[in-house]
Amino acid sequence: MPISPETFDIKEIIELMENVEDLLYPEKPKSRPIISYNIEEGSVKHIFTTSPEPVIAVSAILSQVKSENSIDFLGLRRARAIENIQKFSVKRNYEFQFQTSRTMHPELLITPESNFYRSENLWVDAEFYFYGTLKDAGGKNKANIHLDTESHGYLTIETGQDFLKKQEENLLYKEYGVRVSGKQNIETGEIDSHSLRLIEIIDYRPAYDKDYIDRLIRKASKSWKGIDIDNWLASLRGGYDE
Amino acid sequence: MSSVLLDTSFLIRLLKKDDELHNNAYQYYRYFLEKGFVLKVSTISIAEYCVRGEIDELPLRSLQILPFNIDHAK
Repeated sequence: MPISPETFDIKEIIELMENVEDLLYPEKPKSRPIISYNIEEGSVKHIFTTSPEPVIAVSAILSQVKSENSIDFLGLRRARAIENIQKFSVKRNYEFQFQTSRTMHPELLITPESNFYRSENLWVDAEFYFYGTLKDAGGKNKANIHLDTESHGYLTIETGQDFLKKQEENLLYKEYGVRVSGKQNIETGEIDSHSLRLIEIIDYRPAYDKDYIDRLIRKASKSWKGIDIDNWLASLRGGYDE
Repeated sequence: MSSVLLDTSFLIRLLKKDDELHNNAYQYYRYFLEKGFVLKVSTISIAEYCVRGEIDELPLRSLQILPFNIDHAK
């Protein structure tokens, strides 16, 4: 069946819209200029309109992707958006031509034969610690928790159902630390927020508690009795900090 | 929010009661927490501390941990 606006399913339009939004505004600001949408014949033209600055940026990015024939230099959201469209192209045997109002010719072509995927070897396993307020726990298919952090925004962390089943106390709206595993880009340091899996929840109560610290001092003082700290550290480090 | 990175030497002096700088470290620790500073410690400092001390001697409940990954090793 030839593709036309009449044969293009709304699920595919939604998928495209989400990816175009990530291309235009990868930082996901709380408020952004409107992106309006129109669909036209030819075979199918998806027309997105927004303020000029992101259009200029995306135009430059598309040209760079074309000349490097790679998306590895892009930030995570933009790289993932183009990778998603590449997968979409393979799955449905569609050809996507990208053009902005800045040029009169297509700036990038994605076809089932093109290869706009992120290089796996740039993304390595890493471990992270995040601190924030636990705002949600559950999930119909994938069990997860949502942690609201100052440093990394609102994070979704996969936990597995067993973890949530075992929790006897209500976790919600309390401050926690979490130790999680995930993927990190070794060139940009970016964390793939879709890859986070919980290793453990950490008790985090950042308040001065005299009993707590005094108890630790009593215990630890035995370990360090008679030790000259400066000499001990110098010997341990073998001179690498000099 | 302001934060403070605690190094291995600070942690040992904080926890070693007979150290000549113990009281200084203790007062700093108390001041930072009472004034709302975020206290951070790297996994490298934790590893150094644990060469002689034990992990359950560290005041981890009041500290945020900074990991050491490939990204930091470059």
